[in-house]
Order: sequence, then structure tokens, then C-alpha cells
Amino acid sequence: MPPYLPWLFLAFSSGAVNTGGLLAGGSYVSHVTGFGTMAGIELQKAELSNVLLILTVPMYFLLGSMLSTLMVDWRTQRSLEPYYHRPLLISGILIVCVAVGGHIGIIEPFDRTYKPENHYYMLALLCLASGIENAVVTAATGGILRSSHLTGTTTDLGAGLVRASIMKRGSLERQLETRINLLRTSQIISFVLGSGLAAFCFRFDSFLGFLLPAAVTMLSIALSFYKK
Amino acid sequence: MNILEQSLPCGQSMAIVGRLDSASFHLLEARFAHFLKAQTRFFIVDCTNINYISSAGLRVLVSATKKVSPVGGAVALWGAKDHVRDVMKIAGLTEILQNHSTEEDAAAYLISQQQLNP
Repeated sequence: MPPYLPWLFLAFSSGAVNTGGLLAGGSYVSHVTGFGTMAGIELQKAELSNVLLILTVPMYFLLGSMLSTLMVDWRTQRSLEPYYHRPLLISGILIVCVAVGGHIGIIEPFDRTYKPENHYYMLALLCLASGIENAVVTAATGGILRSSHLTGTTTDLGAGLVRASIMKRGSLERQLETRINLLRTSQIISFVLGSGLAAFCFRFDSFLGFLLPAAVTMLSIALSFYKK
Repeated sequence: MNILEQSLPCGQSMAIVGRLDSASFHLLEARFAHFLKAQTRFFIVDCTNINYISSAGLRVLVSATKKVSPVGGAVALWGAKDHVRDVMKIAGLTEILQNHSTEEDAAAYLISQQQLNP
């Protein structure tokens, strides 16, 4: 099995989570830039409570990243092999909570129009899960792959393509750069495929569509064990 | 990141301690450049205390390997932890970077290379 497969599955899961967030709550999930932009627009409208509400959502992404790094680095700092499955399990459970909570009506109703006060808990939970997954993938692949953050990946891909094209043909550096560029492209494709399949799963306007990324996250945990 | 250096009969030893990432790779790059300028061709890199390696760190190791290969030199890594080896596998470097389980294996590899390219 290719060693990067579990991490590409997480990019797929992240694509599905973002589609779910957009369709069920009218907002992207792992898109901190977007939350910053929305907060700016609310600021112009002098809706200060909305500004604060919107700005706290990406804080859950930050919190997820911190939690994940704490769980992974605690072991690596002690010269132990990291346990990636623990933070991923938390992430999978959070996504299941959104699926079940939404289905039984505990969290906000399925609504494609974004209202900061209406979709807070769903987006907060999904941001937390995405932050965890993104940090795990970054740690496990040495920053070569990420589960989300396609803007950064596209930037790296652009730079990598130019670097590979100006490097000496057949050189080791060019081989490495080409391989990394292929992995980045695979990450983007996985994310898009995850988004596409999720759009199909969410066509009945049901929160149960979130079971798709939850299942894929669990699959990536199983694959990472199989790899070991 | 710290680099502990030692001159061994099989080559220049560098023990990397900590994270070899985009914030620290230039330190290792500078040390390789220093030794390459001094005509050192054989390097033995102790990876036992690398907690994290990024693509920037991998580039330095690949670049050093590329620079010594045409002059008959070699870079031998040893003791990389599983999660560090995994990053090398993901980047497709397992055949390019010489990874050894023990320092003795890495030293034996370098000595064999020295005999091939005296």
C-alpha cells in the first residue's frame, strides 16, 4: 500500500466536510481566510456581535491543530513514535456528532443560507475536526501534504513546478520535486473527489451525509494501522 | 535543532537533534557546505534524535547526496525513527537516501564506498 494513501483519504474527508458545511450551513469549514473576509464584511455593517461570532469559529480550527500537535508532539519529544490515530479518532467522533446531532435536531437545521448565529455549533465542531485532521496530515507527511488548505498547496505546487522545470533533468532534486508535486496534485484531486461525492450524499438535505467523511476518516485510521 | 559533529574513520559524523524543518534546514545545509568545501566526501548522519523532518529537511539530505556522488562520496543515514522513515517513503526517497538501522551498518557502507572510490 502506498504510504501516503491514508493521508490522501483525509484530504477526501476534508473535501466532504467542506461540502457538508457549505450545503448544511452555507459556509466553508476549513477556510480561515473566508471567515476573516466574512468578519470584515460584518464589521463594515457595524454588526459587532456577528464579527465576534464569526471570528471565534476559526479559533476552533486553531484549537484542533493545537490539540492534535499536543497529542503527536508529546510522544515525539520523548523520542516515541507518534500516535496519529488518537487525534483522528476524536476528529471522526466529532464529525459523527454533527451527523447524528443534526439528524435528531440537536444542532441547527439544514439551511444553505449562512447566518452566523444559526450555524455556530455545527461549524465550530467541523472546524475543530478539520483542524485536528489537517495538523495530523501535516505532521505525518513532513508538511508535504495537508488534508485541506488548497490555497497553500496550490501555491507550493506552483513554486514546485517552476523549481522542477529549471532543475537539471534527471537530477535527484528534480526527482524529489516532481514526486512532491505529484503528491500535491493527488491531494487536490482527493479533496475535489471528496467534495463531489459528498454533494451526492447531501442531495436529500440530510445531516447524515456527514457519515461519509466520518467513515473515510475511520478508514484512514485503519489504513495507517495496516501500514504499520 | 542542534548538530553534534565528530570526525570518524569512515567519514564526517553529524548527529541531528530535534526538528529538521523549514526553520532549521539551513543550519544543516551550512554544515554540509562547510565540509564539502573542505573536500569531505563521506558523511554519516545520526538520525536517532530527529523528531520531525519536513520536505525542506529532505531536500538538504538529497542535495548533499547529489553533491558527493559524482566525486565518489556517499551520505549514510542511520537510526531514523519509523515516522521519519515514513516521510522519506512518502517522498519516494528510500532508494536515494541510504538508511541504515545501526551506526555500524552505516559505517560499513561508507567503508565499502571508500574502497570502491579511494
